[in-house]
Amino acid sequence: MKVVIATPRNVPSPLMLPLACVKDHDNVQSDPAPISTFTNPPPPPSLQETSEPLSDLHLELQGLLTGRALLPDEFPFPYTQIESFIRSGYVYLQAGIKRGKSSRHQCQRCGNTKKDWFARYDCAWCNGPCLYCRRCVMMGRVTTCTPLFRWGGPVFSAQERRHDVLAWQGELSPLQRRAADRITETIMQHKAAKLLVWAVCGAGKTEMLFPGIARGLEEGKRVLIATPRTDVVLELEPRLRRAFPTTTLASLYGGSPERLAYGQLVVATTHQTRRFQDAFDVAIIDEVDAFPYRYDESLAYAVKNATRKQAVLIYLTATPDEGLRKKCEKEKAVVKVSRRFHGYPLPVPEFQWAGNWRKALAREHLSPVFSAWVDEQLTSGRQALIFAPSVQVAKQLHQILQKKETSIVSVHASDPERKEIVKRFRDGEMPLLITTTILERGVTIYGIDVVVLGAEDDVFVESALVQIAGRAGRSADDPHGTVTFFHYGKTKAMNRCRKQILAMNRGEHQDEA
Amino acid sequence: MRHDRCLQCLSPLNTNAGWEALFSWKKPMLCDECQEKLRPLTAPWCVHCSRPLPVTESCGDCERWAKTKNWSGLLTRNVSLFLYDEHLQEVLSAYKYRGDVELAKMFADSLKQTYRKYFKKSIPVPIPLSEERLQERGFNQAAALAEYLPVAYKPLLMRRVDEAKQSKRSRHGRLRGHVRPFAVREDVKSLTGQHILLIDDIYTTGTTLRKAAIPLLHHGAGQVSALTVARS
Ligand SMILES: [Zn+2]
Ligand SMILES: [Zn+2]
Ligand SMILES: [Zn+2]
Ligand SMILES: [Zn+2]
Repeated sequence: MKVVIATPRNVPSPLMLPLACVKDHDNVQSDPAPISTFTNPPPPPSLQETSEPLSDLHLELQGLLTGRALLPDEFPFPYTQIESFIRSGYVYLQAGIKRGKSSRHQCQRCGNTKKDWFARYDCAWCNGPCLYCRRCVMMGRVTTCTPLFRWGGPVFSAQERRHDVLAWQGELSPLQRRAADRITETIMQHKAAKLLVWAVCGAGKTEMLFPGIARGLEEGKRVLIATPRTDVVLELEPRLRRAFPTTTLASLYGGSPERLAYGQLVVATTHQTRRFQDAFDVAIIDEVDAFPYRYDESLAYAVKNATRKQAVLIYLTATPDEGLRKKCEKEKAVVKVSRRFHGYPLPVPEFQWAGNWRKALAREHLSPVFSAWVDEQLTSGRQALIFAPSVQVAKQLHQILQKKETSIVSVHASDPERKEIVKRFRDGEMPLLITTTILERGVTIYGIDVVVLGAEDDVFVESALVQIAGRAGRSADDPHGTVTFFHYGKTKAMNRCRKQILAMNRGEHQDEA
Repeated sequence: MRHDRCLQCLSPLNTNAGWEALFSWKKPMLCDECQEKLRPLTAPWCVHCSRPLPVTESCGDCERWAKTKNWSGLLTRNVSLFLYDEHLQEVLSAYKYRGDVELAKMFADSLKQTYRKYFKKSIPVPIPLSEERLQERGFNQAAALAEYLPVAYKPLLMRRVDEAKQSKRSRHGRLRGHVRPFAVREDVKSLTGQHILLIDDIYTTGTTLRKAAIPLLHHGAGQVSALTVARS
């Protein structure tokens, strides 16, 4: 997309316009060129106060662009339709990547300044070498020469105060209540604050959030729930919609239809969180250390960018990383929930030596111990999740298990039918589901057993194993699911996982507080 | 871009990952997991198109091409690097449609090696996009791949129409090969006897590559081969 610098008639200073918006009376001062050509672009015009009622289009643009930047591709209006907003400074264009001091670059959409995340390529838009941001490329490529559409007017803010936004009428256990009160308190501090909610898997975290979110929404605050996983967004969305039926809710994940909708309450994946800047008063970060993002500092970064300076951050996790834990403990900003909402202890993983199960698999055999478990499980009629360390293993295993029971399915992270398969498992259509790590967090399936084949594999770090174990025994009707780690050599991660669960069951975890 | 992270999944690369890494001069582009997901194509395969076969011979499709009037002899051979499975499909769509150009780098080593092994002295020519498609995408995925070859590529071809546009035309016309989407650029001198190597991301039926070969052969090229990342 090309832009020009022009000074409209009767206007003192020049401004930047999309080529399509140039009129005869504009005094054009540059050739049409990609936005990156202009190293010193004129600032957007200063806003003229208006006493007229705002048009529908104004409100729509305000909602669309408040706290986020859109690519030309994403921008849903013809440029000519919003020309007056550009001329008056309410909408302005900005180069996608800013060249900062000492050649440090910054992505103007996601805030990235790390060199590693910028890549150079031969760009057909600006006809030459160009940079793009790899950190947010999944939302469309932001390049040096791409203009971003931004909002220069007053932000879409504070809905007026409302009452009784919470329709949920369930009950919290005393432990949940305690955590819920801390959450509400923190949100109502109206200043920058954080709280680590350290809750075992199955503690009923979502419900504990409801009262605090409700109070925040009633005060006109904008609330974000960020999670690394699309699955979790999909699971939370309907629950939130039922709990807050009168609140504008946007659920954002790659390809979601509401990608551009405004929400006072937003539930989003990490990637989509990067769309926002200075937008939220409250951010709830679910599963802060979730695999495969445990390496990735960028969720924290995305959230930091997406929140206002005075925002409240609530971290929710079953397995906090040490840095965060220490920081929060120092500030006495930790609340622990060491019991599941149904009050039963967490199932403790049992270790089963499976020998060289990989070698067996390669010969299309199962290790005898594991095979015995499968047979028993199939006769018992109980459902189980089988976690495999890689897609390859999952596929091999699937081929063998299918001979025992044809309905068994394997699913992996990039499986396009993932949603459908999980749903079918939930509906009880298959006794066993083989999975790589995608279901380890956030996804609740009641009354199942859990096994890991190859628990010694490096992918199964301590926190991943705790999460996996936490899939079992989630229901009050069936709180005693079994957890078995089939292994070819115990690892530190396995031992520590077991210790952590035992400690929680003894309540030690809570006494520390 | 530094590569202490996996090019694809961005997890940090395990720097002390065994002997192989220790004795290799190059840093790996991908983590083991992402690397393992790529399935390199090797013999036994079709000698003409790299399709995996129980024994190395010519596959049915290639036999058919060889027997079809106007289509035989256009393409000497195609070598594809990897099997176009679900995983590679995902990678290539992130590359092409999402526009993560940098991902081309993960094929760099294989492209280089394959060029040296099978296509020494050939002139790489990326399959072009139409101007319209190029503006939409912002880069040509075939050219970005060709940049990693050991010799400079030449943009000898131009494209008049895109496949998607073609499909709107009569099926009959297409099947008879009446559509000529490619032409040699006007400023190109005769290619007397040269070996041209077409570069593209995917070999599906081979029709596009053969169509691209026609004007090159007319222009004097001695033979036309193809090097593609994926074989479906
Ligand atoms: Zn970015
Ligand atoms: Zn560019
Ligand atoms: Zn990787
Ligand atoms: Zn063949």
